[in-house]
Amino acid sequence: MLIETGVALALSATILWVKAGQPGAVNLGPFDPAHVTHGLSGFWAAIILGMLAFSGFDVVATAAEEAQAPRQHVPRVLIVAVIGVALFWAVNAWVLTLSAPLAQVLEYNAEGLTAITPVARAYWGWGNVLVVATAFTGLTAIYIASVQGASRLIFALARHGLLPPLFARLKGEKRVPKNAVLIVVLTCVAMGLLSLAILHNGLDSFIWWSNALVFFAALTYTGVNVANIVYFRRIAPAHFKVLHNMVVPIAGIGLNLYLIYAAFFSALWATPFRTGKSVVVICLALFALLLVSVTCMRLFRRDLLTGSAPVSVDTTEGR
Amino acid sequence: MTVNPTTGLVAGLVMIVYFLMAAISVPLLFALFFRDLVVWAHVEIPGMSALAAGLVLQSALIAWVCLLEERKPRSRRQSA
Repeated sequence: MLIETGVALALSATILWVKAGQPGAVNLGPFDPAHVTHGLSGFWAAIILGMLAFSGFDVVATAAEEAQAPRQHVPRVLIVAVIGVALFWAVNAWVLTLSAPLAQVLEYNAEGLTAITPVARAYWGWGNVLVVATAFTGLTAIYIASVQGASRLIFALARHGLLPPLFARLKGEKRVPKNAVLIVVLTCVAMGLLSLAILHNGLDSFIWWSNALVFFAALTYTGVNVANIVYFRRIAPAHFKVLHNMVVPIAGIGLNLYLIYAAFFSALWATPFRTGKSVVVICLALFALLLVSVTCMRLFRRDLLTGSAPVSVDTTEGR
Repeated sequence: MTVNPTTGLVAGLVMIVYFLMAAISVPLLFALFFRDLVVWAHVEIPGMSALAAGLVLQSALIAWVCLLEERKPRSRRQSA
């Protein structure tokens, strides 16, 4: 992580060094709200990708049961990481907006290219391969964390009998949920190839899935805030604190619901079907499907929704 | 379970979709940088093929890494 951070900071430092030699090239214009492209609608559309930068931290909480002393360290680490990443993004995003004119970045996007590699080539020449290598290592780490998080959730629901028992099997001395891991990776490959086949553009495919995941991330965060209030009111009233268990979660619920409205039902809905409206339509359809599945479960297999969470698992070496 | 079991199931399924979508988006971004690497190395591969190859390559690597911890003890036993 230190090497990746070092490369990003070195590129930003190079851009600042070069731009400092040009009169007026280094300025705080990108922080001026009046400079927002496409006004408020553009701001909310960008907020979706801004939120994406923070999505995934919560995987740490999912894996907490595999950590030592998670209650002590996980909340502290999450807060420090969020603040640190916010500062890192703000500084580097500011420098990158100074690095190339908007028209040029739009040109890169139209060609389906990430802007960072051509920008790095403009400042570092063939050394831009360092940025590519940094992306490889960083994305590999994120992919591992995402697969671990998703597979553990599938395993948890399967252990409860709410998904096929196949996914509740653990294998080997390390007790890895192999089937859950495999279904996550295979889904990633299948959905990735499908979106490339439909959109014929790698950048558009990435943006499509990024927009969609932020919709479900906002729903998840809303749910977490609701659970915070209800848990400390109903189950642990002795530990209830007005600021932590009422004011902060209510603000969180309001912000997340407003984000869903402003970013999805307003900004994204106003963009072309290809990477805008289609995201909203499919996310809503998927959410409706989840609700129908849960309703069916409640009507026909109510027994699975009662009782405490199971503590034992099937560790047999099945097929 | 804090609110009620049905809400808990909805929350669990929403989180699975969220983490799955997060996982799906990562190899797509990897594929874009993989294509940049191919271009940097002056290797002639059509754009979409390079993207598909990058996506599959990284997914295969991740599957191997995630399941590796399960295979290690078995290989130790075999060598013993």
